[in-house]
Amino acid sequence: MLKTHNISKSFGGLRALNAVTLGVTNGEIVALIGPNGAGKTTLFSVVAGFLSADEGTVSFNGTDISDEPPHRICQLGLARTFQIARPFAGLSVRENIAVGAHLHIARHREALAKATDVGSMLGLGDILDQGAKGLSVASRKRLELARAVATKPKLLLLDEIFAGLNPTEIEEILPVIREIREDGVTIVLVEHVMRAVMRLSDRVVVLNNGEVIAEGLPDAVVANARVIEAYLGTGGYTDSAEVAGA
Amino acid sequence: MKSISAITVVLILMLPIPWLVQSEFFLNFAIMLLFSAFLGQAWNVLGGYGGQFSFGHAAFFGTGAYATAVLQTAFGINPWVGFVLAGLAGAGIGLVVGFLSFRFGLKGAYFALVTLAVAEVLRILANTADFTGAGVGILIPLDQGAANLQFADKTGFYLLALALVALGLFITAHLDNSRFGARLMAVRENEDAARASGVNVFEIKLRAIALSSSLAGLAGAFYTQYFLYLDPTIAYGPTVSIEAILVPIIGGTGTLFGPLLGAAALHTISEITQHVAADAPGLNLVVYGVLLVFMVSFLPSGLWGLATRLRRRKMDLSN
Amino acid sequence: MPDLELLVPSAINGLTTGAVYAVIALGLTLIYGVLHIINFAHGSLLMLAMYGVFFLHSLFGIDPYVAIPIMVPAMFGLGYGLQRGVIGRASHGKDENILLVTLGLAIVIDNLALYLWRSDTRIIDTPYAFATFEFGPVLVSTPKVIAFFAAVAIATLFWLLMTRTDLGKAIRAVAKEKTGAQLVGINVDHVYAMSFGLGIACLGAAACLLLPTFYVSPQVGSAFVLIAFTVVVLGGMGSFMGAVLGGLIIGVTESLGGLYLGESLGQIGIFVLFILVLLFRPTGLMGQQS
Repeated sequence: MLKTHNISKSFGGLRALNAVTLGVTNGEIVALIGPNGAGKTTLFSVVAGFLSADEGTVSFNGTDISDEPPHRICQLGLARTFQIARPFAGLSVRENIAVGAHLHIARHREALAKATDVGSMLGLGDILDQGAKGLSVASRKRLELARAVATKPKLLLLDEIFAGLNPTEIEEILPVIREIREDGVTIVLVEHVMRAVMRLSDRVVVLNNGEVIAEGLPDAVVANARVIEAYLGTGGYTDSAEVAGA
Repeated sequence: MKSISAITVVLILMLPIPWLVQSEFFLNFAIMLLFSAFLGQAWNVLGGYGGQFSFGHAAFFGTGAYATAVLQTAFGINPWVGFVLAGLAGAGIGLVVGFLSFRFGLKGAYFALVTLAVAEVLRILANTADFTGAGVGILIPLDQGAANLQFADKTGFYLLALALVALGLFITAHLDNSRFGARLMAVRENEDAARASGVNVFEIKLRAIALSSSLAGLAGAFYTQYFLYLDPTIAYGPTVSIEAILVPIIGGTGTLFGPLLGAAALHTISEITQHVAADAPGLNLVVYGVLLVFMVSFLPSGLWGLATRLRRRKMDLSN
Repeated sequence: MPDLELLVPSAINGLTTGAVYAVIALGLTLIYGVLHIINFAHGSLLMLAMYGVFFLHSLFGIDPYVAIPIMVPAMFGLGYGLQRGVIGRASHGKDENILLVTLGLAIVIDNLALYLWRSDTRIIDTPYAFATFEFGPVLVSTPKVIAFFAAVAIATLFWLLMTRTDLGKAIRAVAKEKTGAQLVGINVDHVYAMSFGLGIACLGAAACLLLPTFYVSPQVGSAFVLIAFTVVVLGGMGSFMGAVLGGLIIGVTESLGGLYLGESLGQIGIFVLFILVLLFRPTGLMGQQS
């Protein structure tokens, strides 16, 4: 469904992404993990059209989206959330979600109704008429998610949706995400919260210093020596096998 | 829809004023009030709903004013036709300014500066060009009659002004209840989030400025017909641009009735000032400036916002 | 087509005017660089300063250049007070609000001047007003030469202030990283007010340099504000070097533009340049990315 091929991106002298090639198949939940600064959000921004890659291509359902603007990519069915949630502060929660719903719905009243549905499904039912300003972190994240879901995406990029949530809130959002997948949406998540990664993902891809260093089933990846080394360093040991053993 | 009934009520209340009020002075006051409200409504589309603050709305107003003036005096075009063409002329300038500014991502203060510069450039051009009468300006020959858009009885102008305000109200209500309006407000709040929700930010901004500038052009045409005289300072000078901003700010930016409220407040204060200070030059605008600073400091959501907050507080208390 | 004989004096003339523009722009770019405010009231405050110099001369017989040590501290105080008392309080920190507040201030000042002093233009008469200075084959007006060197001196003083004094360091710290500056104990509100004050103090100096050869009227403010902005945008918002370069370039452009296109159309040249720079290179010649 989504394929990136040899994506490279530099900012001045810093190489944020180096020949990143990965694929996402229809219906899976893929987690993109890696230490801070690994390039995960940069990759999202490139895929969603907010940044243009220096090299490489991105294709979505067979269409080359490398040079498409973000709103076009959203129209094609690829939606994203932002790491730091960006609500439309002057609008109500329902009106926020309606903007997403309007992608496929022309009439405002219908969009508001759809927003009510999506909002309720995501647990925002009680605060739909509240202003989006001054929401709690958890609500803001749900709003971010609701607005993206309202665009009826085929692929959803979630950027650290679990960041800043306490364990209860995490438990509450997990089934919501599974439900979204059940509705037929493919999901890619950038995450640091390993609990969510292990519980949700079918497959994990690990990024470090802008490169893919491991890929596979969650259990296998977390045991991978190179992955451990990327997060923890070598701690004085000289080779990865020793690190894994230690 | 709630807004439509509210608008209808307001219009019905304002309709009979020329027949209820005998004083010519008050009728003139009412006409200028409606004119300001309409100008404010024009600005409000781009500034209040779209979040793009134009400091040079006179650029669009003046173009509309000159368009109809020139078409009438130089080409004998009927003023009613000229009226419509003025709206198009305003939109034309708006689209050029908008295309260049938004294409290059100008926002906030930079956009405000560009609009300011454009208004100044147009003023200088109008001051130099022959076909605009240069510094002397254009005088529309007196030829009263409804067909000529020169109403002998001020009632005609009142009804025209009311019709324009009605147009402004319906357009604003449409912004409150449409996909275009929802997207425009999204752009105002956060452009990247809007893009991520599938909104073509550039196109929305362009449509907003086209609408806003065409309405400002119509306001210009109204001015031309009402006063029958136009010069570069009137058309493109700071007074119109300031009034266009101040009216929605006082009343409440991004609201349906804000500009109307703001115009009422502003003109009332203006009349009081003129009574107190006679015809002292500049004093009126000093008051405007103080009002602007005051409103931004203490009542950023305008009179409408204040009214809403008071109403909400009353509701909370009664619960 | 005006020939070389007119071109060179015109260009030199432009340089001297440009030097004064640079002083005006230095203040504006400081205010933007530190407070991130686009000070729409900059032209109006310049106009106020010019009236100050005018009245010091007409009422007390004080020569404009002698007035510099009076005007500069006075304008500094005014600027400090405005930032601390009005702008800082009114804007609640929101950028759009600051725009409107400085616009409101400009309107108040411009029209208060109109009310108090009517719209007549005033000029002062100094004994050296028509003196000329020989610069090779070219004759340049003495006051303009003085203005040029004074402006260079002021720009240098400014630069020294910014780089060699503690205040300058504090200002640059706040400009770069407000929170960090707060954390090391810098009083940000005070620094903001000091910066605004310094920015307006520049206007005091510029006014003294302008009066010998220029007139003052309430409209002068709006005439200068767009020029000041053009200089700052051209030079790069927040760059002192840019303000100086930009000032000189604009001064020359205006002079040559007036020569080829006539007074009023020459003015258009500046605005068109302004719009073009904003569109195609908003960071200016030397500016930082905002």
